[in-house]
Amino acid sequence: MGISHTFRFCLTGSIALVGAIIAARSTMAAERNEATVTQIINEVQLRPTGAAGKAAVLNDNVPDGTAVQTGMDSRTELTFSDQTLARLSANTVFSFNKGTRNLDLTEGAMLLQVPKGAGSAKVTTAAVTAAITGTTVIVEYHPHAYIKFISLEGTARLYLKRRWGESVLIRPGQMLITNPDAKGGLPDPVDVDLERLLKTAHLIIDFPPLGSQNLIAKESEKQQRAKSKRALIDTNLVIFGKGTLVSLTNPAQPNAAAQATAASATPRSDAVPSSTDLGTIETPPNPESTSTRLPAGNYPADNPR
Amino acid sequence: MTRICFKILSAPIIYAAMMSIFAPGSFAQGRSSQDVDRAQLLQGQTQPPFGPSVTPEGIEDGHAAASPNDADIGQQEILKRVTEYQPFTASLACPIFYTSNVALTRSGELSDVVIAPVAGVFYDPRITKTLYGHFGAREQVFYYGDNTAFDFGSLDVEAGLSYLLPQFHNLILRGGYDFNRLTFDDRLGDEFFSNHGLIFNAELPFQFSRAQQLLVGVYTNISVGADHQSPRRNDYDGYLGYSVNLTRAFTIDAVGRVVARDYHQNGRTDVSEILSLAATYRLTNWCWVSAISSFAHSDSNQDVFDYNVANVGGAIALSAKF
Repeated sequence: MGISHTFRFCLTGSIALVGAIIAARSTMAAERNEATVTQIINEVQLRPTGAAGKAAVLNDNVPDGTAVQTGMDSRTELTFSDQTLARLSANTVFSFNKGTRNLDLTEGAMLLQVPKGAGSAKVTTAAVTAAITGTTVIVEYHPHAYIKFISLEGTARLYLKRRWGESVLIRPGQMLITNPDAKGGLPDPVDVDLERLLKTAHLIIDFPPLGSQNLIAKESEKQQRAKSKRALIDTNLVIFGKGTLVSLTNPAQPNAAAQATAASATPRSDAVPSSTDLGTIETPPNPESTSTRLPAGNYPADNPR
Repeated sequence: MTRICFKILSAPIIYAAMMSIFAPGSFAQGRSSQDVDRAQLLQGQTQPPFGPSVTPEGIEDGHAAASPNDADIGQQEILKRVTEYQPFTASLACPIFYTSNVALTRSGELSDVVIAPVAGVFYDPRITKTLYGHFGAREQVFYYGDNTAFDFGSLDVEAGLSYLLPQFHNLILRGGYDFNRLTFDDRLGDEFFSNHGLIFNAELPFQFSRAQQLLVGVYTNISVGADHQSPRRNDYDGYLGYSVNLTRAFTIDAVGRVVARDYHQNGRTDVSEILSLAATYRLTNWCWVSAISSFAHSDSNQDVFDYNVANVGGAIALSAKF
């Protein structure tokens, strides 16, 4: 008795569906074996493997295996042959591996924009890997302390290297913070206000517009619409820049956000270790002492909520 | 008649395995992953017991040491996501598996490959905080690789209520009506059996940790009307289920059940022990793949109806909530 047409059709359809999913998730783009230094702010060093480091200059080629290191108050932008952009924050060490499409953030923070159609990229740290395709993300990593991952547009997948199957999707406007040695699994991502982040991130406002700027703006608008529909609600919890220190802003205090912006540069004398479910909450410092320490492109005052 | 009996018997065994596939969808709805819990934000962070210390990597007290460049990545204001209950579910799944006993016979067993696509739509309105309605329709067609004469379809239309009792360990009580209609092949108009049943179910979950759950339940399906009397029966089912999330995306489910089937004619009573195992990997919130298996041993007071069967295979499932 032969196999029925319907059975064959269903079998073929199922195989095609699985194949399509696998294909959609596979890497198909060109290699990015070399990058060019397209922006430099202050001190940037190129450190080829086994050779002495040298100061980077504009349009320097960065071959794979070469570490790029930024100094204090410095930033740089690397452009890969497939138009992938990597903007490095201050005190960051970054390199990429030949052919593997592995972008290795050794320490520090970076913004990475992988254009649509450029295939997938992997940002690796010691224990956590982020797979990104057609996505703009911000990654901050400090070994043995924490990894912070924010998606500005597009969806990325974070997974633990040593724990098969443990992965989390980070959607636009979401942030995940975890211990890089996370043995208990990855936590859930939380939503962060994209509009506020875009107006305050020096990796965005100090550089030319990103190729994905329109896409990011759309995601921000989407978030604003969700806020107007009360699907997303503002809170008074803010992380002012790098780190994981959550500041509790005072909704009644018009300049709370701006005032607390400088908090990260102040001693943590007012940091209050709280219950384990809250971690450390920092209350806004004295307004008088911080009102003149706003960063460039500072975000307007917190709206009362 | 044997063919009809086997079809009526094989559907619940395969359905048991299918339940394992759909299970992650219901878990996904239960998880309010988008609820911003402050604890989640800082989960995994460690707090040293003593005062702040600065490491060579610029980490102070588990946080990045302050630097003038902290604003490089911008301010992250946490937003709270308000999750809305989504009462509608549309599901598609396509299991493909090997079965050791196509006709569920005691001897002369025939093995075959079965592909059993299933589509369902469900509406579960929230009536009160603990009372939910349930309306749904599901059609599954079983196609056999070689033994195409055994192909059949099974349609279920369900309506009922679910009541949650948080004060009794989250006991769930369900009651409802199920109309089941079996058809030859995928010819939906070519019915060979239909049944009207009243369903009663009580289920008690025991959550051991965030990742492990044990379920104990009883289930009955009382036939109140059927258009063919010989396959008509009442089912009395007790089950024990265990589910473990090995990782966020990877779940293993095991369900053991004992079913007594009391036929309305000929004094026939069957008792079946069914073990279902499934390993599910969730690719996204709406798509997952599973390895499924079920094993059944059935004893009847009429020996001719004794059988053993094993089903092993895999499935891909899609589910959308709205």
